[in-house]
Amino acid sequence: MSFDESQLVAEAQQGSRDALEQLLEHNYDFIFSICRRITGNIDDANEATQETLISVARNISSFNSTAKFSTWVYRIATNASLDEIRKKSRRPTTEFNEETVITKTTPSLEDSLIDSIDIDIALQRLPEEFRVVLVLRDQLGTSYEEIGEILDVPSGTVKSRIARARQKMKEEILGNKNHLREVKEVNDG
Amino acid sequence: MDDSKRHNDFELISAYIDGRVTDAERARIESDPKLMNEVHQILSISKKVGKIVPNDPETKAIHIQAALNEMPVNLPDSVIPIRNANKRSSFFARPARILGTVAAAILVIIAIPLFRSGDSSTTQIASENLEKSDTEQVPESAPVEEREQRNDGADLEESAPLNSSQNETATDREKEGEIATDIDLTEDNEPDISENIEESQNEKLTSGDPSTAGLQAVTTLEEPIRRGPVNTYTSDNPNEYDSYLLQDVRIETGEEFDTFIIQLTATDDDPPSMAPGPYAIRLNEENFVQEESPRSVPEDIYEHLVIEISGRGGTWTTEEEYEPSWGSFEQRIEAEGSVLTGIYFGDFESTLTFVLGIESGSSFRSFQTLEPPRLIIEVDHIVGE
Repeated sequence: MSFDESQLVAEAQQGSRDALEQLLEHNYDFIFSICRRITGNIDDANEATQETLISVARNISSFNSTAKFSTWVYRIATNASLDEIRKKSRRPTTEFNEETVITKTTPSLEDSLIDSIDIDIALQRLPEEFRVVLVLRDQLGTSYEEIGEILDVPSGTVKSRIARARQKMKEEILGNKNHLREVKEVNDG
Repeated sequence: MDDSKRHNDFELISAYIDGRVTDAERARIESDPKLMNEVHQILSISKKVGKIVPNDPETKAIHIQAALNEMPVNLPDSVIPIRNANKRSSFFARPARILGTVAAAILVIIAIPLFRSGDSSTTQIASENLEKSDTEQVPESAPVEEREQRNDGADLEESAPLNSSQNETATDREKEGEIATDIDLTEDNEPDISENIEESQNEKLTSGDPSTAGLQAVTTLEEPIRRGPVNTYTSDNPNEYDSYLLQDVRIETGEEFDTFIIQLTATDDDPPSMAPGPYAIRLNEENFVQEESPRSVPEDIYEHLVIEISGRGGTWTTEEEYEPSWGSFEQRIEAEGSVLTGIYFGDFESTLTFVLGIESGSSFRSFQTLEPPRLIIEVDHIVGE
């Protein structure tokens, strides 16, 4: 069965519970992923995801159907995630675990490090404004213009932030790699 | 490589990855092995960042279900929005109905001592009211509660339409999953109600209008008209509704009115078909303003509704351990941007009690929904100081 988003949105706006359910089902994984990556831990991600879904359900009737539904939903998810971070004012529960990483280190160091190091940890070390744009871009393939719409910033700013975010991610991960290589050499004697 | 050049290269690489470069820039990157190596590194990281992280299916199902429960229920045509009571309803223009309402008003006068019977619990009130209604056709519900600003004997004629077949009609509608309202819906007067709705849906609420008439005004021999109570405790067996458990209480703000929502959940596999249970609303009940009362209204609330609805606030896990399903005794419910203050006073004998502090002069109305089971009270949205 094909997924006709605009049709489902129209039906949901008329009060169709089934249509809304399909929309939520279809977007759920993306919403949760955004929340998970931005908040950095599963508890806050669950809170933000629930907030997002409830907000969508409550406000679907007021959604301007000339806009893109997914952009609207991702904006809500982004804001819910940021709210969750601010509300709880707490650091992510995941912490960098050096020992875990070392045990997973293999001779094909670079790729395996990128595979094995928890991306969440590196993401959480990014400033918030960099983390959000990177998640929206890399997770959803959202265009610079759409990200700008979601965050209310110019697309030029989005472009710059994405570049800075990628630069910092690389430095973070490769910085860890160099550090881990030194640790491994010491351990190997 | 200085920081500026390095950053520029990174912006270029990033733009290249996103397909936002010119042909010349593309050629420059692809001809430079060092830059291409960076491209591959960044792509590798981006791929990891872009990996969708699924949640566990059980949590997903819970999230979606909870959201669906929050979907606003489309009000059926039978729900009358808060209306400008200055405009008289055509429903009340028919002489036969006027006679009916006069008769009903007399019965309301008879019923007043029951409503104002001191410490009697709502369930007791309901039982007494039921006994009356069995024989005297006491009106069973209030269509819309409105602020009474002026005491006018003529308004009494407009109150409490006589209705002998309301239960049957309401039950049919509720079976269809529609909102159960406190509106008179006899087969005979349905068309008039529709006319009334068409008129009133385009009307703006005029709060404080001196000629505002309560549709179920109530009076006593000593006092003229007051804003009327609502009492839907008309079931033969009110306790059948105690299968409902309190799930959530909240206030939502709106442009025209704020909404106090009491959400219940059915604990029985075969819950009652009526939604969700009888309830009563009374205004400024004296019992709740006496200091010595265990359920006294805080001093910062000057005017209040007392809301009682059949249901339970928790379950006894053992003979001694009671596990609340929501909140705690005297828990306050507030919302940013709303002057409403709700207070939960727990449950007693399968009746949940709330006080809702409102601004003086507010109009309000109430209705129920079946899916999810809710009692909803809408009060004028008043911007706080």
